[in-house]
Amino acid sequence: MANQAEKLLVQRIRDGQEEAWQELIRQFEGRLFAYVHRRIADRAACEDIVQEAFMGFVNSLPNFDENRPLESFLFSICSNKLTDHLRRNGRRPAIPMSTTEDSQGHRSFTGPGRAASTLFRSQERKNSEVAALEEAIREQTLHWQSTGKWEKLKCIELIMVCGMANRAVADQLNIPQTQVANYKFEFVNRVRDRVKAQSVSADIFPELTDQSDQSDQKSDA
Amino acid sequence: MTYSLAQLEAYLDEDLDAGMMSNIEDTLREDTQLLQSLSTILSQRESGVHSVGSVWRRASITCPSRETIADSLLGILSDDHNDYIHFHINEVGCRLCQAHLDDLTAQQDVNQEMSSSRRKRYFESTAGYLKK
Repeated sequence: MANQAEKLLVQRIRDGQEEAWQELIRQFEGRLFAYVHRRIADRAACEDIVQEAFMGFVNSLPNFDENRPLESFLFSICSNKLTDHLRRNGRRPAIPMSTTEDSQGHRSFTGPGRAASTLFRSQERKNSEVAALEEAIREQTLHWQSTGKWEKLKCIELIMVCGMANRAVADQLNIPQTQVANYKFEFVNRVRDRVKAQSVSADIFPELTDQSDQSDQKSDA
Repeated sequence: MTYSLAQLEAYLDEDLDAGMMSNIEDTLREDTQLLQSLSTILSQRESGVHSVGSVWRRASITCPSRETIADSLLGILSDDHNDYIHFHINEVGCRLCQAHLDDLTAQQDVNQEMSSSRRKRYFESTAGYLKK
């Protein structure tokens, strides 16, 4: 959610106030440049990409939802411009979408491990599902942060965000594998319950229904 | 080398640590199976399939604020909190937080003149497109 200062800044830019635009560039160019520079050594090319991102922002102003955080919007434009640049230079191949056809010629986008019920829901429904999951994860991780449960947070971030296996997480954090399984069990159950409490089926999130680790977990979770 | 689903999703979003991004790009040149996996993920996304990791990452759920990263640089956070910030930036490899850290570090010791001439160029090349 954007804060009031950001909303005001965007409004002033929409009104054509050059000093507001200058302020936005001052606030964000350094971090956008740094984001691009991690991938491209050539500083001039990085500057061009950031410039294209700012241009993209100006062009999208009429449709920009000012409730959206400015920073994430700018980073997403910059990420797209960076991807375009890498594709043009042959570093990043284009990825086609895979489709399959059934015997009636209907095309679908199913893949391994995904239930058919997850498909073809309305965009509004999909957005509310994502919002419910986001809220559930945020509540749980904020709780761990505020109570100093940093080890649990690290453990679940490695599993969910980095996709690491329990054994690798245990090795990295130097904790028993059963402890990793316990943390995961606790996280999955709590997030699933919170998602359900918002009248969203947890079945559409395969990781919240996968019980494969439960055999590893101890009763002292 | 094999990559996790979470890593491939982050690759598609240009969110993975830069070194890992390059590794995947190198692998993609020879590995058609990897291309197919990425293609399948894109298709699933189009159909509205969500993974916990992608929702977590895209919403920057555990990203510290820029101010907190600055506090970490100044060394005024508790040891545990500071340790977590380092973990998130270096071990999880969060690209947005790396960008904040790089920028804040650069601001500490860099040449402000170069930065201000860059800002001036961005402004001059784009301000003409603002509503008059």
